[in-house]
Amino acid sequence: MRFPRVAIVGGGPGGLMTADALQREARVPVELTIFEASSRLGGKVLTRSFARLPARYEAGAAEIYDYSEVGPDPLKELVADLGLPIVPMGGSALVMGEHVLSNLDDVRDALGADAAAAFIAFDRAARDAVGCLDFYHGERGTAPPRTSPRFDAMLARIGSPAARRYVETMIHSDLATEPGATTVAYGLDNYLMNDPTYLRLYAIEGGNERLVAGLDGRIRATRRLEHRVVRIGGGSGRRLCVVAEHTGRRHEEEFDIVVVALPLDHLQRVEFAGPRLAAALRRHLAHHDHPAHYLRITALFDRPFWRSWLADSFSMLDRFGGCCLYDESARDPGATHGTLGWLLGGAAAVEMSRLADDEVVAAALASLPDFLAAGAPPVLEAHVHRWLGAVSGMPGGPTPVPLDLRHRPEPVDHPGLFIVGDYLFDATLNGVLDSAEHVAGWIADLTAIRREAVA
Amino acid sequence: MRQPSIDVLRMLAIVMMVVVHFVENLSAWHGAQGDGGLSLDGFWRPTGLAAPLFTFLAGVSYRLWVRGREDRHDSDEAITKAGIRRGLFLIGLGFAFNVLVWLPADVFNWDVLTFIGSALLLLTACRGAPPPVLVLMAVAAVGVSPALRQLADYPSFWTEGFYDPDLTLGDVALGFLCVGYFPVFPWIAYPLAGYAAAPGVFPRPGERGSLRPGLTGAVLVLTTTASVLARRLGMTAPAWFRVQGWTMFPPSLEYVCGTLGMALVLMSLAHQLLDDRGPDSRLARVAGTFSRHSLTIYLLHHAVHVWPLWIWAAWTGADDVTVIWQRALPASTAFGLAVLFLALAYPLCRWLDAPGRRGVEGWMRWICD
Amino acid sequence: MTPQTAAPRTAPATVPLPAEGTCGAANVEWISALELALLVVSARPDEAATLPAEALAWVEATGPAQTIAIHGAAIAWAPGRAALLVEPTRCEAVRAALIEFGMHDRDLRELEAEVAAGWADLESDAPLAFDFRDRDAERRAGLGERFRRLVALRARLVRLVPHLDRPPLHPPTLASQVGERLRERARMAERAGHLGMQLEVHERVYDLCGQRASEWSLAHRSRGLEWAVVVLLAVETALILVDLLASRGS
Repeated sequence: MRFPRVAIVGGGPGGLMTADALQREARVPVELTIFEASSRLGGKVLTRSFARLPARYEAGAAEIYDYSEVGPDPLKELVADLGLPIVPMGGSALVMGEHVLSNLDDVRDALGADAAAAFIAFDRAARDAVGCLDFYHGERGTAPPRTSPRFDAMLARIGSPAARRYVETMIHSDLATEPGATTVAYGLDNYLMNDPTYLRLYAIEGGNERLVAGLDGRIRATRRLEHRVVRIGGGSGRRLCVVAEHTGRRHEEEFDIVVVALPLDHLQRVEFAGPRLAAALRRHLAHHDHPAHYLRITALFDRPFWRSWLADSFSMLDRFGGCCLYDESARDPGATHGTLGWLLGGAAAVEMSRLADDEVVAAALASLPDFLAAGAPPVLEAHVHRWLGAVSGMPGGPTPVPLDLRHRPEPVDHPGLFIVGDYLFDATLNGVLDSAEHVAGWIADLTAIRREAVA
Repeated sequence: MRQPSIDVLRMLAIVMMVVVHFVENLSAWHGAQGDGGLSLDGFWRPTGLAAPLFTFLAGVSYRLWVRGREDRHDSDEAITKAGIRRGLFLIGLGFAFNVLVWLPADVFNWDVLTFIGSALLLLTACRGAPPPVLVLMAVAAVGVSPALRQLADYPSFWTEGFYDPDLTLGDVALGFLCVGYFPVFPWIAYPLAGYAAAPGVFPRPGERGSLRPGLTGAVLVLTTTASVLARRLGMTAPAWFRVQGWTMFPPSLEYVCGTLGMALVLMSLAHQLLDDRGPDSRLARVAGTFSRHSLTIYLLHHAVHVWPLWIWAAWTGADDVTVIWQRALPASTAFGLAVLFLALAYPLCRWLDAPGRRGVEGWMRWICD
Repeated sequence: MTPQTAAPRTAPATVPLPAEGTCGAANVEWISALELALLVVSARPDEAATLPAEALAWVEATGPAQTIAIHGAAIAWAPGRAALLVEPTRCEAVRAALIEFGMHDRDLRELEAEVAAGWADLESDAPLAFDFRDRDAERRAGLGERFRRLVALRARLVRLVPHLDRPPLHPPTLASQVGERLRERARMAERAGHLGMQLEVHERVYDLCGQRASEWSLAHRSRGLEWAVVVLLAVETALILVDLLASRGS
């Protein structure tokens, strides 16, 4: 008896989550093969340690979104299922110049009553546009397609420049792109996620990469690390042929089903054979390719010198067009050292990524406000991680596409080819799990139907 | 926990019983057996209260015994088994007693022992019945008795003033049901009433008692008094119905209501007056001693006053063993002997209280519990 | 600033009480509803949010103090005493948040104490949730009373929970942040959750007790009728039996 063969191209969170979900949901045994171009699984979920001290930091995805207050949260359930403890994260402080604005009182004092009023008006408009349940269900895009304005148009309507800058600073690093390059819906999402009523944040104690390790530990699949998939096309019958490159040599394998779980920049490098499939993928990429960029700078100090002023797990800085400053050492309650992480997004991330690591670190340290820089001890060790084009600045594309078409770009001749990605939903780990579970459920149904048909 | 009021009342019943039996059996002086007619003669005499009080207290004690077992978390099954064993023990003892005490006289009495044994069996069966049902049973037992006696032709069993059945199955069964000395109908009303009234008079700790049993008793006494007075005014019921008159054999309705009322009133009063004093008062100790050994005293007093009559008849070579039955002594002497017996019974009971010794009650507990 | 050191059970005599709402220099006010002496210290915006040592010592005179420093405000809290350091312009709102927290904390503690006191009753009543017998009949009134008390407790908790478990205000104010931090530090949402679970156990037991008691009551009522029928049948049987026995010779 031959079991359905399923190839998963991409060993990042999307690939692993698809494999895990498929393994849980499949009603017939499936033979899984995971292709990963690099030597590690996990993709953008990356926890690293310093060389000089046993201190961890997040070099990739910094936090996970918690929707459990609003409704079912599959990712939180998965984390709990894997037995991983979590640490809540939160922060309300935003540093503008030399002022720490932690609340509305601070905004009113530092920016003036008019700015505070303009900010409150924007906040109300945002809530009116996207309610808590709309946010949870991802029901945006009430504006007609094609006429949907970019987010900068909405920001421009904020009456006070100071309030506008306050909002831009607050959301810039989360957007990872410029307001003019994304939709109102995605911009509002990134503003409203600061409200704990809409969602809360958490990280996995001991590093977010434990999620990857947990999934890897329970997936029964053939893992082909350092196998870069270069070509996918039709095989014998309705099967699909996957061509992977390993140590300079190409290998071909045929599969019943192929799930491509690659970030957009990697997806563009794969050749899809056959005119129909190639055209479908071109359409897919054209719709979804709105690259956004991150840059992470992490510096280790002998003590958390900023805590007298910034006590939360993260704060916003009005430098680099608005960046997020993570207290990475807050993830480890027993830590005596201090780890500060900058998350730059959008154009600033692109610009800074062109510099050498030392220059990037120096620029980051120079971005600290005077009241912090004055008491800063020397940096013990620093690292830079570049994530250019790693995420989408317009998840789901400028106009909504039916869910099935998002995940199966060419259903006629290549019904066995599926696509999984965070950019199909909301560019988060939660979104990629939604995508993975959708595809896994679909494949589970298909394999069961085929088995019944054969029987 | 022992209730001094019950001990005192039971002692009262014992004293009355001993006096009545000594005086009646040795000298033919009748207390309770009144005229059945118009006069109040006999009504005031307390001697007819002994058996009603004794049987009533049997119901009360059974209820308190059940409660004690429940409080010790004994299972229903264990309580039921112990109740049945106690009932059978008493019935068996009643049969043995008949053989040992009355055999020379060649009579078979459905006496108070066989009755209380039967009552315990019935109470065990009805243990879970709601209180109103128990009252209904008591009322039904009293109400149906005249009709039963009429059906059974009661006078044919009571020739020359005492119960004299043929020892056929039919006569024995009728004696047990309605024509013997202490037949189920209507005597079962007393233990049923005691069982139903006990929770109201002796509430559990922390609960409030009820005045209802005492008030019911008072109403019964007043009704009986009214009935007696009405009879004096010429209002009579058919003689066969035996509603009126103060007769213990057969127990008239007037007698049953009056004695039941007295038992209820006495128990309520005794509880109010005595139980707060605790079990350490002199009265409570003396009463407790008599009460604990009431069964022993019952058996013993029969042996000591009846057997001499049989022995005397045998000694003198008389044809009839009952030759001096009710003719042995003057009433005053018999009364004196009763007092003497009671005086001697007390130290005997104290002697039986010592560890390692058992009276009849001790054997009953050993066998049945 | 020289706060007195004795724990005030009534309004402190030697420390002048400010008129309500005035938060200028260091002032002690007596909040009778909470039996709490509140020391309010004005802070300058450029000062670090640290309570003066004397104020902390004054609070700790009654017991170990919880301390919180948040966005320019500092709070120390011990049984019967609290100190608050905050900018004058934000004083009134933060003070109100602190008093609101104190009231909810008091309500929650009262509920916790009452539920804790009910465990002994629950343990003795629990067997009745399974088996209700005649001898338990007199406990029905007590069960009913405890159930009513339980419903009242649940009602109080249900009224309280929205205040304890509300989502953080957004955009936040200093007062809302202080209130949230105090509730978080006192673990009020978790405590309310645990209290809810404990009440659920009580409710389940007393609900079952109520069901068993009702079943017993219904059975008791129908059993009375059954017994009455049995008595009447027994009487009839006795009459028939006696008639048969008496007429056997004829």
